[in-house]
Amino acid sequence: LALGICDVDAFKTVNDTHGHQVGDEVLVELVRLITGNLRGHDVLARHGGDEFVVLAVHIGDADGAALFERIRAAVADHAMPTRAGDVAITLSFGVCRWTEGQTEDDLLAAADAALYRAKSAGRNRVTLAVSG
Amino acid sequence: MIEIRDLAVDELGRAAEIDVTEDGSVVLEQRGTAIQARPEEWHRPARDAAGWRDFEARWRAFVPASGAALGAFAGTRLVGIATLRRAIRPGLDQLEALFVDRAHRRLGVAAALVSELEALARSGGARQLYVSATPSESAVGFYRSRGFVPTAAPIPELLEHEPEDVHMTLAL
Repeated sequence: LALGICDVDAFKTVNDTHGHQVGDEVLVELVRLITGNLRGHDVLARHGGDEFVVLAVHIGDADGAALFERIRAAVADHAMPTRAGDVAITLSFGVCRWTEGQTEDDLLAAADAALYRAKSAGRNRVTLAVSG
Repeated sequence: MIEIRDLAVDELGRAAEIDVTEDGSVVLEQRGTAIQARPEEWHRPARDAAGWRDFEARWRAFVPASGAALGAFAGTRLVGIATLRRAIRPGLDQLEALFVDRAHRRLGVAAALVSELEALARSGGARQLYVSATPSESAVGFYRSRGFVPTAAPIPELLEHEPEDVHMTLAL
């Protein structure tokens, strides 16, 4: 099982520039795009605001990294149609693979720390949690 | 010379005259009452017509009935705006928006606007003022200098509206 937290890069700029209705349209389109790239049994949940959590079950390290990278690339390559015209966004992902003994909170915290590193490293990327 | 005065409802659309662009290299993140600084280049572009309509529609909805809008003028030119939404909770008013024209920053315009809004909130009976601040060092530093502190209990609908902001309150 792998958990990925993603956050829309500079989403505040979308709201600031085009207004919150356009921001909402972007989020709706984003969810459609992410969902289209998930496997049937993966779970997508809103983590608040412009943060989403993807729970990828029964997945190996390589496939997990590929899944999150596929979502990131799909979003980066897609212009979101809105009433203000096409809006381009990118996603940063922090990903943590579950290991025996990790609680939900441990998993979320590790993915969140990885997301922080993805943002600091320049955004629009998938960063894996440091194991241990 | 900057003059601060009430804006009539029909003047609210003039906010689009303000250049809101800004650049920075640090983004702040709120965790409870703690603020974490993260190095990240950011740029706020000019607000487009849809973005300004969004603000104007919101202001038209609350300013006449339960709020206030102040403009800062350099001659006839509008160089800053601040809005107050009253009683979003009992005893709690919201500093809903604050914009200062790029060419008129660091001249005390924001301080003059906010000082006036604080007085309005106080005279209306509010005991606290709430702001969701752009997570930049300049914005959060400005509010801290006036006594605002990050709140451990952001108002849910405002957090939903501006999840990346730093949510702060000031005891009046």
